[in-house]
Amino acid sequence: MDNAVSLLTIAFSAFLIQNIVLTQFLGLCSFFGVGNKEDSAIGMGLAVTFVITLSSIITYALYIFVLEPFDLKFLSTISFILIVSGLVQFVEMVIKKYSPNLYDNLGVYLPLITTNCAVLGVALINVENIKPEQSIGMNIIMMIVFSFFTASGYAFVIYLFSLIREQIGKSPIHHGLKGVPIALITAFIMAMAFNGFIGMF
Amino acid sequence: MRIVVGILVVTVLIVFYFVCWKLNKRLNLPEGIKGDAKKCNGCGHTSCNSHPTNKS
Repeated sequence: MDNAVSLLTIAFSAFLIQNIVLTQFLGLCSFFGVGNKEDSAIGMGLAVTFVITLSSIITYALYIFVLEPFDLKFLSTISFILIVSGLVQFVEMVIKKYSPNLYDNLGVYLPLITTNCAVLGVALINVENIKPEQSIGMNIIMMIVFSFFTASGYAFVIYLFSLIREQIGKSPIHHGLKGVPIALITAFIMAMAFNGFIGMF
Repeated sequence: MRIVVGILVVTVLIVFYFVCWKLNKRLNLPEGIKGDAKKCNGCGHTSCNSHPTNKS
């Protein structure tokens, strides 16, 4: 029961309270770049969710089974970058084959998932949060829940942001505010709203 | 031993990345596109009867 509550807390916290974009300010490049169209935002959100979840599992396994036992922790960052880069190439291949339209819409932002700091950030947070007092199995489950819900939080926020930006596009606003300025103001208001969740747990 | 494992890990990951990068590149064009690709003479001529190089 305690474990279930703990997992629920991790999931809710990762999704809303410590949202990777609006609270930790990671992955802002693709957030602003792709978050202007609903379809692209959904595609990007799904691609990033897949990459973050899969890369977290692989990087975590590499860390606890190879890097930590052989005292090679200093190789963490370079190893994680190589894993993320390879996975992004793989995702790119799949999207190019099964959804060419989405591939065109995502454009340069798809290969740029490699340099999306949210992906590397989640992998590094996972290995920092290993709890030695808990079993490896529980640690792995907690890591998967945390990674998946953090990535889902990213997808959720970029989707909301795209909906708001589409509405803003139809609204009469001053030409000096069009584009990036109004996007930054929108992100600021969203970040303030998400900060309201702090203190729930 | 530790150094050997470290070198092995990085080598395997670099090979993994290289294989993914190689597979991702479209080196073999599908049959239907091959002919069109040969006929293509660039985009110098446009359908609006204006040639970019002949601008006055």
